[in-house]
Amino acid sequence: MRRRRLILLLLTGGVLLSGCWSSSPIEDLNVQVGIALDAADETGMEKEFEQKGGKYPKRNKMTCTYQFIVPEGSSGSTRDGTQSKIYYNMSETGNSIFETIRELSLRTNRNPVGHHLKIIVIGESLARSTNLSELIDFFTRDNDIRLSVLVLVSKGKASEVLSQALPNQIPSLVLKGIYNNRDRSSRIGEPLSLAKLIGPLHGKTSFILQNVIASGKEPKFAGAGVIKGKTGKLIGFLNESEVEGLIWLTGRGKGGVLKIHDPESDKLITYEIKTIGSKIKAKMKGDDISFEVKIESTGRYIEMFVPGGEPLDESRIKEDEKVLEKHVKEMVQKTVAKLQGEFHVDAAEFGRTLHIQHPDVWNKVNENWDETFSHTPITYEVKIDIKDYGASGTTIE
Amino acid sequence: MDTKPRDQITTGQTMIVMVNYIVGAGILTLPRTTVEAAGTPDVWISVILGGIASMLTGIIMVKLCQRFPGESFFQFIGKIIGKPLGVCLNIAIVVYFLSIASYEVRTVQEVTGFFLLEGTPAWAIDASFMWIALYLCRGGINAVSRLCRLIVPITWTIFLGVCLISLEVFDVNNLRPVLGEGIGPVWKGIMPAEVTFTLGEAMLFLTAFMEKPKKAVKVIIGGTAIATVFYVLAVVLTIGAFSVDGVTTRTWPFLDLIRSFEVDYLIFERFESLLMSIWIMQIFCLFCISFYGAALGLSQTMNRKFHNSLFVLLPLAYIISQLPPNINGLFSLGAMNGNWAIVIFGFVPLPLLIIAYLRRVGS
Repeated sequence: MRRRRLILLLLTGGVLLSGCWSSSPIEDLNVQVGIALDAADETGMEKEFEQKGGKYPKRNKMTCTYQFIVPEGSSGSTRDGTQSKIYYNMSETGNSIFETIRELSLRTNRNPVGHHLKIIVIGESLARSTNLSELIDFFTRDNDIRLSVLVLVSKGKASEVLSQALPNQIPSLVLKGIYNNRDRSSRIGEPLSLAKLIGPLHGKTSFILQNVIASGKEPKFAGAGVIKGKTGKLIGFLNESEVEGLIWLTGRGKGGVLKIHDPESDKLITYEIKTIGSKIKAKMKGDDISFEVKIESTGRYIEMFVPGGEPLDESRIKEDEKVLEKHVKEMVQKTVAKLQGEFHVDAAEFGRTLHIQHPDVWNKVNENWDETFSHTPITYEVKIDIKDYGASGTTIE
Repeated sequence: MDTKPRDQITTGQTMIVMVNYIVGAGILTLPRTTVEAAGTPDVWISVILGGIASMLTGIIMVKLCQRFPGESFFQFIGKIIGKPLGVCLNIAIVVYFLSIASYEVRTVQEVTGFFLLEGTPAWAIDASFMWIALYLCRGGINAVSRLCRLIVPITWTIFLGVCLISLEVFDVNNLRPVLGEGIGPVWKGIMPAEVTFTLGEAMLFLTAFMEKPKKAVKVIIGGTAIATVFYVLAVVLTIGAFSVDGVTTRTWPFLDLIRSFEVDYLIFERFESLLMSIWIMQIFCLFCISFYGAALGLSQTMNRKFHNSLFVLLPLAYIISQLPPNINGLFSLGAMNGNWAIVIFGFVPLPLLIIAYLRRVGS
């Protein structure tokens, strides 16, 4: 009996006293939150290292900038009121992303961990010259990095985007947070995580990637990069209003603003979007493909500069709806014209619509879809429904 | 020497054991294996058809077992085709069950070693897993079925909860067009689905333990139907998130589904660790059931004590589990198990049933 008790005691002790296998305290880790990938451009520090012999065989293809959170500093401002940086960036140049991360281990005792990576920003020149699937391969293969990491492109240098944020903010988290504003602005594309990127890249479908730019102190979401499915490379950018047009076209907006100066009377109409929806129909006439786009939206007047103090009656609303509808139609047409005429790619998922509605036709045109799409006629029908005029029932006095 | 099973389990218990025997490690890879074969998003239809096929083969096995109440397949097979042939078939089935158990433990080892406990030695994961299984199996089928019943509320709730949250990344357009390329791809997808389902062979020994063996058909239909729900959910949600093109690139698509979203409105932001820990329990149950089947088969064929055969088979299971040299080896072991299941349990039971009927053995 006593022996049994002893064994039991030893066993419990073994379980309870043994601590955690492969545990590591959080303050000894470099928590990665963002990564910027740029075309190779060695930093001054790296050049100095190399001069002193700190080099290894590599081709300088890209410069990876890693953004880490400072665990102790996360509390924000220091005691004397000055603001401390709560993140820091480290750059390494090389041709394998994984190798550059491991190269960091020669520079710091804290190991980078990827569990909390949120954002990958790819610089324009790298994205134009390299297939994106090569750039994200490591991230989709790794066991720590999750597939929920969001991917963006940057017109300019991606590392600059990661070095700018207001005090006490972490640039990577700011970028991720901006996506939450999709109900406030219809100029933010759908967030594309690694998980959502794998399919189009593997299936060679064209798509758009949110563009983020930096200037001075803050980042800004500005339009989107267009990725050509065949090559997986960036081929150009859509500006903010072209992205807006794309959002209207696909009906994937969550809210935002629609503003127009009536060309005839020069009055300002600002419409707050409540809902956007769109239906695309692929039509077949013999072998000719065409699309019919129907866009519908509801919302309200939110800002009206029409002197005169007129009441917003039915006829006025009808009139303004017409003006807004025309504006949306033009915006959408401009976007599609750019995709068809300039880029020759279908980054608006028309192909998918065709695939779903006419699978047999899709199998025939699938191979060369981007080209076929470039000269496919598309008709538009926009219906705007102004539901109310807010708390003010008339135009301004 | 008393090798007759003494402990009995109720119909409900058997059904839960059955579900736990079907749903295991296969769910982690099923979306990829089926889509690779079919190439269209229609594989969820293949999964349903696979489930139905699995029910049919299961029913045949149950009918066979019902002719010999209170006896397991390993005991009565000799009466149908004679002892020498019976022993051979029994050994094949024992090896099969053992191989299934090994496949499960190796999958746990690979997945945990990669995603959950990087740095923990493989033997530490396997050893704890297998020793506890040994202890549990020594307690008999009742202990095993109780464990299954214990974990079911946990695993099912978390599985369904995680599935619900994963709707965040779900896009129904990824599943369309339905039958865009006709029914052809659906047939191609059935084979990998069937390999994951197995064919209800656990009923070969479970029926003998049932309090009311008459209800065994209900068990096989209910058990397979529940498992089908799990599989269809996993396949539909994974393809919905990744699209057909994306799914084929993922080694463990279902785990990657859970890794592809973060939620900020719940206590947890991410669920893969949670899902994996509970899924290890699920796989543990499968391991136990199949290991139990192997040990029971060996003891009844060789007329040796059940406990001894447990101890003999445990190291064997470990050795088989370490045979695949790499991850591809593991996947081929899984595919081989499935193919053997189709040969042994898909084609053999029906002739056996006919022979038993013609020779008038059993009731």
